[in-house]
Amino acid sequence: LTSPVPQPACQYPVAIVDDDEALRDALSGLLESSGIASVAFSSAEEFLERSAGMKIGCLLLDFQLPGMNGLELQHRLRHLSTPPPVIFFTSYDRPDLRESALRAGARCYLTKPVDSNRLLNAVCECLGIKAQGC
Amino acid sequence: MLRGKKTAGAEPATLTSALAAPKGEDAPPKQLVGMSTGDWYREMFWNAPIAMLEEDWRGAKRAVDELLRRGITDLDRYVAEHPEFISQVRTTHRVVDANAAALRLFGFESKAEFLRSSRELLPANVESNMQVYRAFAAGVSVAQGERVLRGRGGSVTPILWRAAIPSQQGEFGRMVFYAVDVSALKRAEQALMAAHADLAYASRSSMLGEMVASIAHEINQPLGAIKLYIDTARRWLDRPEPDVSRARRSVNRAHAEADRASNIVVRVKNLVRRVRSDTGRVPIGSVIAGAIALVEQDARLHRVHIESARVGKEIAVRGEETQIQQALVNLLNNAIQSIASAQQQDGRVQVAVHAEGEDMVEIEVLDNGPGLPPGPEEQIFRPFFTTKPDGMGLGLSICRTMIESQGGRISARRLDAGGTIVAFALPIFR
Repeated sequence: LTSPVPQPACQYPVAIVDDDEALRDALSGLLESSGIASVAFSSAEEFLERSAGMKIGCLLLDFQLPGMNGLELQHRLRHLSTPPPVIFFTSYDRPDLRESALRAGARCYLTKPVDSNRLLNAVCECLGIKAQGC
Repeated sequence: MLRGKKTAGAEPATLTSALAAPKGEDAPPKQLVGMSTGDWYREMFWNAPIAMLEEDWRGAKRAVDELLRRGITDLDRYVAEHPEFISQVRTTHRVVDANAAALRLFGFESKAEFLRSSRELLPANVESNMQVYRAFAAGVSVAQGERVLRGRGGSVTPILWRAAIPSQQGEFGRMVFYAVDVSALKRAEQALMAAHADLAYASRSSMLGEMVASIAHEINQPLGAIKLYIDTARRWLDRPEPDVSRARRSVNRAHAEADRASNIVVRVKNLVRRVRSDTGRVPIGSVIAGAIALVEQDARLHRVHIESARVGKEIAVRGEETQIQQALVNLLNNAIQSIASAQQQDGRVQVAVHAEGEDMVEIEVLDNGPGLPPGPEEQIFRPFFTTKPDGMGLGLSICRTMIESQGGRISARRLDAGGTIVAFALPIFR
């Protein structure tokens, strides 16, 4: 068995914040193929606006976004009582960004183009589910 | 009104009386009393605070008059076709006298010694000589120009010179040339030009860097998506019960993203093509003069002598002027630096121009430096190939890109006598 088993329905969705439509779609597809639900946003502002009251399992966050950038969004979310775990997912392999992101509590910092297995492993870890086949 | 009238009426009387100095008052100042006009002139000449030379240009005047008599009015063209004219006429030229400031400028104490070596110290400078000939031919009263003086002990001084062209035929035997040392001015000017060039280069390379980064980012996006779509499709197919329709959907999306990536490539290509169409007529002579002006300071610092063939205004190539000039500056800098790195004393760089087949003009940069590194000549144009300890190895590779993007080609070879020749050819402009 190489694929993860379908997950229980109580699991919260993964939020994807990326300005590239194809990438959002591809990520949702990948997560779906592993039985993980997701909801996508094209900007930090849209996420803040639409995710209020929404339960989020983890946040897949791009750094470069129109308007507020990923790092700024991460800082905003730190003030929540239970901030969602954050996975950075960006084209910028910059040590300073990586360090800031990790220092602010990001679970990991992946660079594009990302390795699907590493991404699924990271997501599964955040969701606290068994990364079977991830 | 009344006052005005009064003044106007009184003026002529006052003026005349002022001009007609009372007897004895216009006589020479006391210390010069007793000197003849000639002695007085000699005294003024010798002590003038500006460097002055008296030179015999009678032969040159005769030669130019002869050309005019033969109906030759375009002296530049005549000299380009008969380059020996300058050196032949120069044999009739002589420095007759020099003042104290001139001796200081050349680094001499004895006038007799200076006059004896003046022929070696003042070899015919084609451009300066031409300025005087042009003034002769045009019948104007002043000639001026810039040149470099080589003084005793190898000192090199850029000067600005000026000469009054006599109106009487008999005065050409003692033409007075004034010279001003413009080293400080030149240094400032060259520092400014070098700063400009650096800035232009820096902005071009940072623009290039930014452009490459943004293109890379643009292409990375669809590539990243393609990778995810394909992995996703594989996951659907790898399931115990493969989900073919979901896999197909993912593959179709991957295909669309591949189209997006190739569209980006097409857009970049179009952009480059548009940039290329900004080309036009580039006169080679002015490109060479401009490039040499930019590296002259450095050449002087390393005691490298740069010489260039005279190129007629009508010789031009098709391309983008700043790029061609930048390529040439780059080649000249490389030549100077290779000579400097070998600590050579007799460094020479030569720029030559000739036709290359029917449709191209070739510009060659020759140096007598230590030559190319071992290995194929071609390797020096590869990106990141360098022989300099702190070099990036991008200069010549950028040169090649600039020349080739304009339909030209660049090559290098070793000279039998030692040294290197790097040449680039560009399409001729008709």
